[in-house]
Amino acid sequence: MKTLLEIKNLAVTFEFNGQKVNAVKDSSFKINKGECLAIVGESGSGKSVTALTIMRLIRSNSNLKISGSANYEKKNLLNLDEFNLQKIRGKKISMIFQEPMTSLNPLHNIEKQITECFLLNQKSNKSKCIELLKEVGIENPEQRLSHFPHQLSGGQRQRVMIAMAIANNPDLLIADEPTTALDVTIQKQILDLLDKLRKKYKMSLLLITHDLGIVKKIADRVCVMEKGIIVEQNETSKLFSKPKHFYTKKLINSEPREKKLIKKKSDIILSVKNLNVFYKNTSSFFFINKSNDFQAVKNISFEIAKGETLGIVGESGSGKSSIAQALIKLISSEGNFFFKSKNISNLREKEFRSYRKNIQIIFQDPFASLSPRLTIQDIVIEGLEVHYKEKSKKEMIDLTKKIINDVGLDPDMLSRYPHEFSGGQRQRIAIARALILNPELIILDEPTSALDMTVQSQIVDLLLSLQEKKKLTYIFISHDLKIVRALSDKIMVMKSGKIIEFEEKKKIFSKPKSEYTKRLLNSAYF
Amino acid sequence: MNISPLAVRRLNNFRANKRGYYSALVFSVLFLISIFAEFIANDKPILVVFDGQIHLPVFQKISETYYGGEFETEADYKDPYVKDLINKNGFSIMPLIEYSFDTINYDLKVPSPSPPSFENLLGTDDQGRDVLARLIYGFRISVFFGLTLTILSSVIGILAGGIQGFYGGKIDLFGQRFIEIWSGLPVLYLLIIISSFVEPSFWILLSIMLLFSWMSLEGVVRAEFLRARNFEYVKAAKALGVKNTKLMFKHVLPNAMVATLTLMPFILSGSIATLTSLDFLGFGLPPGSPSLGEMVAQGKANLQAPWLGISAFITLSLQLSLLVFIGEAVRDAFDPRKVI
Repeated sequence: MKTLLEIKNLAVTFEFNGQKVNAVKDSSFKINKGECLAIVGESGSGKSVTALTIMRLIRSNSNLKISGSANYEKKNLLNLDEFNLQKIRGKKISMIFQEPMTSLNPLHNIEKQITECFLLNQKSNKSKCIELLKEVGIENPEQRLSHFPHQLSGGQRQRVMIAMAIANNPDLLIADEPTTALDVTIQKQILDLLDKLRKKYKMSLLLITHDLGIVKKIADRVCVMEKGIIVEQNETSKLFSKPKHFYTKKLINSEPREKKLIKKKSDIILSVKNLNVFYKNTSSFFFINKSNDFQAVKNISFEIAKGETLGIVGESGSGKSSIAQALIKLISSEGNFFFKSKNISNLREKEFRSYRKNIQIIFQDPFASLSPRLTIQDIVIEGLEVHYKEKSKKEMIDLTKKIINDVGLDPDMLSRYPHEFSGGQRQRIAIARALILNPELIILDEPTSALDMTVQSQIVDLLLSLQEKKKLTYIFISHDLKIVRALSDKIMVMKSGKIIEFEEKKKIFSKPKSEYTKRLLNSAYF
Repeated sequence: MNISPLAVRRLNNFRANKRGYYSALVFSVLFLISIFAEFIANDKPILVVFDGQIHLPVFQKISETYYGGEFETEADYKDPYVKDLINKNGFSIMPLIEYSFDTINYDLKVPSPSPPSFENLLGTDDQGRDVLARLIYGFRISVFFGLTLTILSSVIGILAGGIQGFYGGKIDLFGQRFIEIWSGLPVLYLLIIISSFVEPSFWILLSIMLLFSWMSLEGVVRAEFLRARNFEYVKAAKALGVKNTKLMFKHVLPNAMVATLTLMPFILSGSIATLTSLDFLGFGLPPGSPSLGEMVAQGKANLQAPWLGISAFITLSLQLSLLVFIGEAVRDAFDPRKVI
């Protein structure tokens, strides 16, 4: 097979406040014509920097040094001048990004954005635009042309991005985490589309991802990156069957362990009856029109017994998080819920405060859920200061040290600030903050989806061992079926605010009843 | 002392803006000098040693009879007769500039306003008062005014904006409508009307200005609070049961602080400019008080005496540009994306 792009000894070094960070170190790989090469690695491993360097979207300056070569058609992309670079960028090599909302200009309609790609390289052509949109599977392309990005869904936006990228029949398409921001079912559609287009146009695809499931499915060859170095590259089937490097093995084996099923029936800790959540649509100040309200959760009832884990799965917008926030009264809701058979749904904030120590929540993004201006000590101790005012300062500090130890961190870290920690460590801190109050029920709202694969399984292990040790009850919300399977006893599948299926874990995975559950299971790569 | 790495980084960023850093140095030196204006420009000696006893006439009133003179009133130390009396039995040290802001030089060789001379380095104004002395005192009063107004209006602005932004909904809605109406009131007319009832002193002027200046920060703080109240760490703290007031001050305010601190130097220079323009129009501080605006007005009235207008202009523009440069450096210091 002919080599399309050859990267030799690529190194990218950032200099920041006198400190040097080697983002990419001495990496060499090549992409053949028509092949799909995947670069996998955890966040911070240098995958995206590699892609950006090939596109020359980052360039050398006083803080950034790039060395090595990227040979494309006998030209070294890394020292091509701007004029010649424009002839290649977008025409021969194009790129799609992770976040389709921010990579489309919100002020231009779809037609303008797509024709912009032609304007640079060929004559503008409306019919070509429609053809492209058809190609990427957008329905009613004629009408869509005049739409703006905010009128499209995430998946459609990513399709438009792809249409723009393939507008000039490029030789190489670089896809930087193209599906990370999308729902599972849409993820599969987008990947299928990319694969189809690659075969049809005989392009090469450089796929950057952290999801091994995707890699296994569509990549021909894989490069595994760790800390800026390509530690292993091989054909996909060989890499998965016989991983050589320690890190690759760790990545492949980073499957979380599974929860042991509890047989004994125990008391019901939380029961929810006919929960409804409305988001008010206030179009008018004086006339409140109820029919305009958006109903995020529709008549949901369920029960959880002590020590159980309830997994809630569904696409974004299915009302999963609304349930979580309604149960701890961060948003208002209608309906009843009982904690240990006491109705807590109508309590006022003052009366509910004493229950807050029993029900805690852990949020999705550990970067957003810790206040950047407080030390870890201040963050963890805060709950104690609210609920256990009678404890002395020393007792509180001893308790925080103990709890930080419990979640697998070093108590010496307490005086540091959140930005000094990695994502996994931050999530442990968030868990410590919730645990210090000795809660009986913890609601986990996508606690692992912002984390890397290997870290994900560590957090799941931690959650499982804490559950066994402290007899905790979890409500686990996620769109990642793999992790839900590992943690849950029962699973609730949700779609547009309704329960589609609510069953024991085994039954859901072996005999899904509804069409939607089947589709969900299908689109998740295991 | 425990300095967080963030603070160190900000200090470094502030220093990296050379112009702002040196402006801050120059400004603090000037301000320090003007704080001790009584010891630099005064018609009373810094120190009198009389009869073997040490006196500080800046702080205490000593009547002429004490030195052996005739009047019961406070001694006029510039009078050659009093000087002789003191020198007979001790000595006195006069400050660098032997005039206070309200000392009238009766020994002028030319009619006032008199041009710069060795006696009055920047000349005198139309009432025979030393311009340099008036500048030093005027600088001090305008900086004091600006600082007090800035601090007070920031406190009110942050509180009002915080409450509006944090609670949102109806409180925010009515607050915004009130501010729209309130900001529509003509401040200058109000000042003119009030100054016809009462003589506007420093504090009266300050409180009237305060009624309106708090709104400049309110909008920014409100926006920051509106944004931050939906952050996950605020929600997490709420889920822990933290009370609203603590949520506002411990979790949300530190994040609104960046926007606030960035705006503060500009509020400071704005309030100094407002005071000056009021003084210029004659609605400001009571007559006789040293103010830069009054000096600009004198410069305008006496175009034949350019030293009045020029010195007032230089002082004012120096003061305001220094503050703007400092403001730029502060903005740099708080910019998280700024790379040195």
